Amino acid sequence: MFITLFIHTFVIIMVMVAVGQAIASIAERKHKQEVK
Amino acid sequence: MKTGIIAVVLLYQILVIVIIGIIVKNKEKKEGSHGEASFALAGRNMGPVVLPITMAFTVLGTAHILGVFEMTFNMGAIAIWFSLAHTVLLIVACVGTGRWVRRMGITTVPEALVGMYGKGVSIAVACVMAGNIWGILTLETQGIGIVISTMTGWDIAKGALVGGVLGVFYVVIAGMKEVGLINVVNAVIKYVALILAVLFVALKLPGQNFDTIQTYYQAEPSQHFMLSVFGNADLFITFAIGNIIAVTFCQGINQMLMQVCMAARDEKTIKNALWIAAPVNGMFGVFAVTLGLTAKALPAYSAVGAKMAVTTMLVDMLPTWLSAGLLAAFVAAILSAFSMTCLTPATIFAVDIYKDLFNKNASEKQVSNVIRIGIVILVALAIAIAAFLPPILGAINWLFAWLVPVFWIFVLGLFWKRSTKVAGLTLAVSWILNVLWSFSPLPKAIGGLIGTLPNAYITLLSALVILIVGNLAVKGEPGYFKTMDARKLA
Repeated sequence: MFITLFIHTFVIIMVMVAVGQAIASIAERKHKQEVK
Repeated sequence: MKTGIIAVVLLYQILVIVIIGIIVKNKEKKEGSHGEASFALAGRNMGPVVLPITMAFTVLGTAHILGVFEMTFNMGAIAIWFSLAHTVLLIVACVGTGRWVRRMGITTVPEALVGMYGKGVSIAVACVMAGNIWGILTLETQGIGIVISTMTGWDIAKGALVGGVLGVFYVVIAGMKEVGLINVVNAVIKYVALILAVLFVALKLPGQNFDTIQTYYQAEPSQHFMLSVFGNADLFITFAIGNIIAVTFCQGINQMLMQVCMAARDEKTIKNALWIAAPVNGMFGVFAVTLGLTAKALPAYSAVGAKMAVTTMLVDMLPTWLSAGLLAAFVAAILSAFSMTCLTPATIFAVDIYKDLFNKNASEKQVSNVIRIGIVILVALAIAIAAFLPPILGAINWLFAWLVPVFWIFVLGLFWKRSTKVAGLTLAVSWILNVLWSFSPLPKAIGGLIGTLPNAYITLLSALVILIVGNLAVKGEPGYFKTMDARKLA
């Protein structure tokens, strides 16, 4: 039970972080183009 | 567990606080770095280790420990979404709001709003934000009182007093630098004690693992959802998504977390901090949920009820030395949030009220001393209020909702459009609705699903509607980051 909960939570966190970083990179690139 | 143990725990905390405080002060003397930026913002030089740990533990306090124990008891493993909502918050702060406030080079969030909307909006937000964080401080004070009380037998008021005094020392000697370094030292204690606690509880169970607990929930079909992090559909919509909305939009602009970001060495450090801050904060919930599920499945502790089941189980099952370690871990976790909830409203008062309105020529040393005095007064008031035991979850729900409109006027004002009138109207209507939603029969009169929605939904809805319609209707100014001044900042 503990191991399953640990793995599920860790995977969810890392996926959210990766998606967040990816969205931020795209938005940043777009914003820089707009400002130029 | 009585006097001897609590003495060891307190001695450990005092030693860590004093030794780190002295080291930081001596280093500052050698480098000649004193003043407001050094005290409140660690000289804007927080690096890749101290920054993420401080971010993670600034938003990890009473609710993550006592709240998650209680929520798990009632709802099962889906309570982990309280922690995961803070992961979403840290993502928003590390890739968005935190970097933007660092880019602006400000000391407080209201200071950013002066440039965007003028002094009126800024002072209104400063007053509400400082009051809001102080409200959270009273709950943290209550939390530390409860933790010390349940694990030592002391009464809550005494526990709150001892915790409050420790909390003041946590921050008052050397400010943010001290908070950051103590957080890093305590992070090790927190996780080692939690891992050992879960291990020892497992060893006391039949088969020396959690299989019997799992079997308990699997035996009854109506209890299957208790083991799933996704719970059931209803819980996921109301609890998981509800928490993500409330925590992200309230804390995503709160001075508590933003002041840590303002103290970062640069924007890149904040963005990279996410890889450490998110798991350090989010994984804490795994241990709390495991202990909550275990206590609920054991009849002796289930009978004690949601509020006390886990702490009673821990005191019974763990050897004394580990109980002491766990107490030290819980106290450290709450103190890390406590220290920021007293430092940040004091900083807002010193910078946005004292310096801005009463003493424009105040030196950095004067401002730092006002912050120190503010910390002591705020904590003294919080200790006095904590003795009356306001309900933690209901109070957090009301408090968080105040800052939702501030998040949206900040974000839309940076990237889309700014109008002081629309921003003022948004804040006024949303704040009035928040008060009515808690203290009038309005929700009952509306009834149905809408009548049951928590305050954060109401202020989110009103803020978005007024801001979007208002900004479309008036001319306004372009988003702050679209202006020339801001381009130079970028």
